[in-house]
Formats: sequence, structure tokens, C-alpha cells
Amino acid sequence: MADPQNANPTILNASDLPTRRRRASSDKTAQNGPGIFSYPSPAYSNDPFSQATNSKAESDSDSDSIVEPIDEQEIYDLISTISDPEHPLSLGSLAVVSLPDISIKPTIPSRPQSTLQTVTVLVTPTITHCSLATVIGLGVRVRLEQSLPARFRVDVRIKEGTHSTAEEVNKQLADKERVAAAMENGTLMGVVKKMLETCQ
Amino acid sequence: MASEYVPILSLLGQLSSASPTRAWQSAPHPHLPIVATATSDRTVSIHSLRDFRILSTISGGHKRSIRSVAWRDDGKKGESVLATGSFDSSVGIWKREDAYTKDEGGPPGGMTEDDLDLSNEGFIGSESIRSEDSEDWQFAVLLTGHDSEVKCVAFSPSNPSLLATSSRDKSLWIWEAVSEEDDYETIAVLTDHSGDVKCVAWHPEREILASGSYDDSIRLWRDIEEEGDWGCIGCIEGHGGTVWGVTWEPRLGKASHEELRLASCSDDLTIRIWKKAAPERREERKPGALPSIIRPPSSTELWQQDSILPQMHSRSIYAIAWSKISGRIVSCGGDGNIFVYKEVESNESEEDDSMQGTDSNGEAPDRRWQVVAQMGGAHDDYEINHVCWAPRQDRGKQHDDEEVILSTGDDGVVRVWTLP
Repeated sequence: MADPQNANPTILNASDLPTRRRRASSDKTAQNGPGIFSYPSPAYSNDPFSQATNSKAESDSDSDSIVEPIDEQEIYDLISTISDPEHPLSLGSLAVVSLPDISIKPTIPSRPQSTLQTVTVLVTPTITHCSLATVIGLGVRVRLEQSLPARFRVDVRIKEGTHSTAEEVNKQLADKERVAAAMENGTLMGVVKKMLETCQ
Repeated sequence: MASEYVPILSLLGQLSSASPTRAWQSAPHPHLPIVATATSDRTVSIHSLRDFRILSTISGGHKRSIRSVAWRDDGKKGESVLATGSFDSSVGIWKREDAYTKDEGGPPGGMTEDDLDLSNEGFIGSESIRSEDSEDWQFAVLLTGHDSEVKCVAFSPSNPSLLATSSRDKSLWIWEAVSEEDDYETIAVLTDHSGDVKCVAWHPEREILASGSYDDSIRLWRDIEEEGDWGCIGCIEGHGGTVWGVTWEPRLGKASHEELRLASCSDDLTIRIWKKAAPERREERKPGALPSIIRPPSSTELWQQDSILPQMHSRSIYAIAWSKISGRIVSCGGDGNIFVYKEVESNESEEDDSMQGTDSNGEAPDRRWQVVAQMGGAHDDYEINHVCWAPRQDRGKQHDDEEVILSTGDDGVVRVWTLP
């Protein structure tokens, strides 16, 4: 590929990003990690920082075993680790996807008995004419369609004012038939697969 | 929303296959009690509408999902012809000899009684029961030409040797069967649309084609004698999003001189009915506006909006169908809901205005559309890609005019519904 269009994106520190999953796993490493203690560490960690968050982590991991309703944080956790096709960085650290730009609403508000939920993800490409905006949007959509139960409708859109051809890209991303056909395109799916490799 | 109760559909049966993958569209056979369903696993499944069993699976012709299927209606000639449109950009034509059935009265294909081998599994006498046998279907020819995914295929009911195919390559092709051979030649490549051509529908009585597109417009096409070739004779703009489906009004009770209307459904969550403007009517020109120098050619038709159906869907409306038996319209969409509408005289209509449509002037017309049946979550949480009417053929049928609704979903299943 030619020079990346955005050679110097702003990168956020991964530890600054909101995630429930990462906190739990960092706690596990604190408990089971190698190093300072020569004998097995106790169930609670001696690390003062993890002590403060320990109870929260435990309640998180306890509740992991109970089915939680899927919320915006879960959606963010699913997509923030997708790799950008250009940079060896995640969409979360590039702020291409962010927690405030994710919303979940009932699909049919007039039918309270319907379980359908619409997840809307607004994507902010790194620069305004990034031609990879469609691929990034497709990656997010594929990841969510593969991970979420059937009752979720996924809408992925380029955030208003962040891209010169946002409307065109949005129309493509919203077209179920085009997305389905794209998922049968070997080359395109190769790129998307690579992007999703970094997801848990 | 309306406070009065809208009756729900009843599930009569389900057509499914061993390992279901997304099903895109179904087509009931013109006269046999069978349905073909296009699926994303590159096969077509054929089910019986009598007992809902799977009869056969057509496979091997396409390298990608099959998006569309269409039967050729040659009258009862003893041979079934099916067209398949695929994401691999090609169109397959398949043929099969029809079994002898008591309903059809006599041996098919000009055979005599002697020709019939009574031990042949095809001759059952009362019902056409075929085993799950893909050898029944023969691959006749592969039609190539489109540059990208084929979205829709359709044979003309008034001239079954004509086949229309449409694609993401923005074009619509017209093919004509070459007599005596299993082949088709391209007689027109129409490129007026500026986006994918999602759907095509032939006029029931004339060789006129309607198409719906990703470019939000509907176009009409026919062979323009004055110009010696097929061309676009009208463009209907009004929808605010991709037009997913178009369907023509059936003749039913309308007088033979009356023009049939066209219905369309869209991403903009509306279903609209269009009618051809009377030839005398001219567009009013605003005072001070420049006169139009270019007169539209005499072949151009002007179409206008007749009405909008009550807006019931919350996500894209993927398909509509207009019943030849009852004149009712059925719709389905990404919200997993099915709605059935009926046109009524305004003095018959209900008090509640929210369930009723309006005409292009926003005023109460003398006819309006009402929702008469619904089914929420008809395929549980899955989107419904296609819906159509079919004559009822199972044992529960009580009279000849009974019809069922076939809905085709992302769950890979086709459901059969009866109306309340």
C-alpha cells in the first residue's frame, strides 16, 4: 500500500480506555503473576492498587457467570480491540470508536414485548477523507454481527462531520445485501479477518 | 399507535432444511404445489406446499449465495424451468420434467399413455410426490455478463421467453429464450440507474418492466418501437432510500382499460403506490419559470404517487407482494414483522386515522389502505427478507380461493401463514 494517509495519528494509552474486561484480567495477572513472591500469593492480592478494585473485580467476575444484559460497555469491549487496517493499533486507542459514541435502544419502541435492540456505533475515522472508512465500518459490523445474539440490530455509521463522504459510506454500511456480498469477497474478508485477529 | 386490536396471522407450517443458513427469497411454482427458496449456502431448496416436506435441493451451479429464484410460467407444458440469480454474478437456468399428476388431467409433454411407465415413481396418480433427488434437476445453461452480484431475476408472465436480471453493477439485462435450444440471448442492457438494481417486476399483462434501485428511484422500461430498442420510459422519484421491492397491482376487478398501479417498498420505511398520470394532465408551471425547451419524448410516461400505506415497520422494508386472489398487500422487513393491508372505501374505514394511509395531497382520499393483519417477530429475532402470497395447497384447505403467506427469513426457514 502507498504511504498511510495518516502517518501520525493521536494514540490514546490503552490503560486510559474504559473497559470492564481489562480490569478483571489485570487483576488476575496481579494475583497469579510471576515475580516478587516466591510462594503462591494469597487469594487477595497484596498490590495496594488492586486491593482497592479487588472487590469490584470479584463482583465483576462473579457476575460474569450470570448472564448480564449486554450494554454499551460490552459493545465497546467487543470492538475497541479491532486493529486499524493501516496502523498496528486498535480502534480504541486511535479513538476511532469510543464509548460515548455507542448507544443501545429498543428497535420497536411501540412494541414493548419485542426483545429487539438496536446498537448504533458512530465511527470517527482518523482523518476526514480516509478511504478505509468503509473497511473500518465493515470490520465493526462484522465483529458485532458475529458476536451478538440475533435480537441485536447493528447500525454502524461514520460520525457526522468527520468524513467527506460519510453519507455514501453510511448507506453502504447500512445495506444488508451489500454487506452480505462483501462477506463473500475473499480479498475484503482477508483484510477484515486481519483486523479482527487482535480481538479476544 | 392504534388502540384497536389488529388480528394476528396463524402459523400453518414451516419449510426448513437440514442445516439452515440465511434464506433470501422464495417463489411458489405457477401451478404445482411446490416452492423454491434461494439460500446463502449456494443451493435452492424445493419444498412441497401440500405437506411442507423438502422435495429436493438444487446445488452445484453457483459459487456464491443464491439471491433470487424465478419460475417460468409456460402454462402446463410438463416441464418446469427455474432461473437462479447469484452473488457470483451469473444466472443459472434449470429444468425438470414434471411428474404426471391427476390434477393436470393428462400426460405431460405430448406423451401418450403408452409412453408412461406405470412402474415409474413419477406416476403416483393423485399427488406429485418426488423424493429428495437433485438428479431430477438439470442445469440447462449459465448466463454470464453481469459484472457483480445478481440481485433479482424474473420471467415475464405475458411473454415467458423474456427474462429480466438485475445487478449491483447498476444494470438490468433482458434475455430472450432462443427457440429449440437451451439458451438465451441478451436483447438489452439497460444502464440508466445510478446504483444497484435491487429488484425487477414485470407487468402482468404487457411487456413492461419496473425496477427498484439503491439510487432511491424506480424506473420503467419497455421496447420502444419508435426507437427500435428497449429503453427507460419513466423514472419515479419519491422514496427517501433504497427501493427494495416493486410489485404490480393484479387485474382482479379492475376494468380492462384501467392502468395497473405499482407498489414499492423502501429503506425510508414507507410502502407507496404509484399510478400513471392521465395523458392530458400537464405539470403546472410556476409563474416566471422558464418554459421547458426539451419536450419529453412521446414514449415517456409520467407517474405520480397514488397513496402511502400506513407506516408500520421500524426498519427497512425488504419486500412486498400484491395478492392476485384478494388484492391485499403483505410486507416484511428488518424488524421481523409482517403486515397485511387492504384497500377500502373511505366510508368503510375505521375512526382511528393512525392506521390509515394518505394520498399525495395529504388529504383523505376516497380509497385508503388499512392494516388488517400482523405478525410481530414472525421469525423470532431474525430479519425477514422476503414475503409473498401462494394458493393454499395443504389438506386443511377448504375452498379454492384460499391463500397463504410465505415468509423467508435470516433463520433459514420459510414460514407458512394463514390469515385470521
